[in-house]
Amino acid sequence: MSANGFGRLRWTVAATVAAAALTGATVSSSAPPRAATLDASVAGEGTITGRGLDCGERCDASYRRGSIVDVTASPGNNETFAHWGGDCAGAAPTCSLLLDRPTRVRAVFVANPQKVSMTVGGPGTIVSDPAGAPTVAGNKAGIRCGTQADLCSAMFGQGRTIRLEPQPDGDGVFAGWGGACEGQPVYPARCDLTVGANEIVTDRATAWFRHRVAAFGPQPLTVDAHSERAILSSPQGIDCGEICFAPFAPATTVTLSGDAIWTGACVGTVNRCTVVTDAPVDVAARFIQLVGGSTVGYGVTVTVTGRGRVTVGKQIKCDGPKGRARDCSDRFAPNAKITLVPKGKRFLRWKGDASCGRGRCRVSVIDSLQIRAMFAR
Amino acid sequence: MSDERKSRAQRVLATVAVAIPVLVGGSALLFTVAPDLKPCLGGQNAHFIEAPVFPGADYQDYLRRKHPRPSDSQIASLGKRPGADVRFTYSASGLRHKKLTFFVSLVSVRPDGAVGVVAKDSDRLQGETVSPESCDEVVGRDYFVKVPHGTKRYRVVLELFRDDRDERLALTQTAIFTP
Repeated sequence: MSANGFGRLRWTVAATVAAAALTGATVSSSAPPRAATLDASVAGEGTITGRGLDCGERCDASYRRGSIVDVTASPGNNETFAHWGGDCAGAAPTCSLLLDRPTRVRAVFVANPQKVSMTVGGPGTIVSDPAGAPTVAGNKAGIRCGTQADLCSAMFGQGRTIRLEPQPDGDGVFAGWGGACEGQPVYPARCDLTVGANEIVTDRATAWFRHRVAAFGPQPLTVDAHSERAILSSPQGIDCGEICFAPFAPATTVTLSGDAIWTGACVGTVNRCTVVTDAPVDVAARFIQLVGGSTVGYGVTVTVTGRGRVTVGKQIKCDGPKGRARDCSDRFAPNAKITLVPKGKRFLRWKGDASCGRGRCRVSVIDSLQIRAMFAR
Repeated sequence: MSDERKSRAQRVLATVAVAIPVLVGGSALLFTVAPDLKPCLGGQNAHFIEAPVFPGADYQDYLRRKHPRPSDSQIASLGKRPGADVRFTYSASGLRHKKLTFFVSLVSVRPDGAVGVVAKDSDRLQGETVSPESCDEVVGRDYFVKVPHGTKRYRVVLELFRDDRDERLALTQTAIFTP
């Protein structure tokens, strides 16, 4: 633990003792027999606060047995409260505890995720260290981008520092960094990147390798792009869709630009790719269009419990488990207004994406909806 | 060959020589003015590129990020619900103007990592239907999965079908997560 950590803990304990004196809570070392201990701990960066409690990493306090204490989880900078553990469950930031026995709570915070993307040119692969972001659920693979793998973007905790390291192929030598890694050393080759530190480049890094033995004479650079959107080169020569092939002087460092997903001699998703023309270079580009694919509808799914039926026009006719009608989902146009009609002797209520009373329910289809109709059995 | 035949052959050749450039030029002009009419070359396929999942998300926050943004009253009517945000990217080639529908399942994961049962009411929920605007596009979308409270571990399975449920084009699953 750092010196600051000790200082913070001492301050926290002092604050806890002072607060306990004011509120009737007592610290555990002098807990009376009829007290219940609350043991609080934090994973990630944040605090747990409550009556007589202000906890940065780990602390405990005693309360009169049977008292109710509200504890609140507050995330630190660049962190999000994920969930409770111990005797609290769920993801709401405040949890109420009945202290009728020794009680333990744990607040889990995770770093806000931020995407780091790469494009790698030439004979080698860039690997991130740590391999993944242990603080970000759902993404542990990290970056492994180049000739050996095409995992070219990954989520990392904001504010964390990751190291990108080159792994040249047998015939490759690391040659340079660009984008978010521009200016980082080529020997020893590494790029230390503080995630989210540079909003302009938004953690988009490039790297390139060259061949150990360069071929003699001008080398052809070919871009395969099935689109009329442009791929340009610097130095000039490639202007693809029109000029997709050009010879370059041997060992020229050529940067290609275009909003593409690169494959071939370039691998990755960043809009620039650099290659060295020390051998014939073939690059393929497919285009990113993150605003394409117009939405023509959303699915509405109805579930019925008990003895009853729900209809939505002629599109949905859905019975409970004992009925026969099984048309329980269909597509509706965005923003369509649909009316769900319950049919059955004892309709109880709607649940899910329908906040209606006990009769018909009119909803706007602004997203995919799941609606449950509850009838008596 | 008689003179008459010769001149007829010359007329045919001249007509062809004029017609081909006119057709090519006309087509090029037509496709420039109306690119939607240009046929898609190559096969038809789609696949998921990535599908990271963000647990601990809030449904109303997700709705506020949608484009176009629903009104505040519409967002409020759907209530506050916890869940997970799946931000997936897919690629579609040769499927311009076809209807592609996403289906989403929430699958529990056993302690040994094996796939368990599908969560209640969460089997192949019909999601968004999209229609690619070009022959070859890579598109990002978000999907909010309502996840039951608790400490169970889950995966989200995404399926992409052509024309509702006629033909599955792609399937992927997210990493394991807890609500």
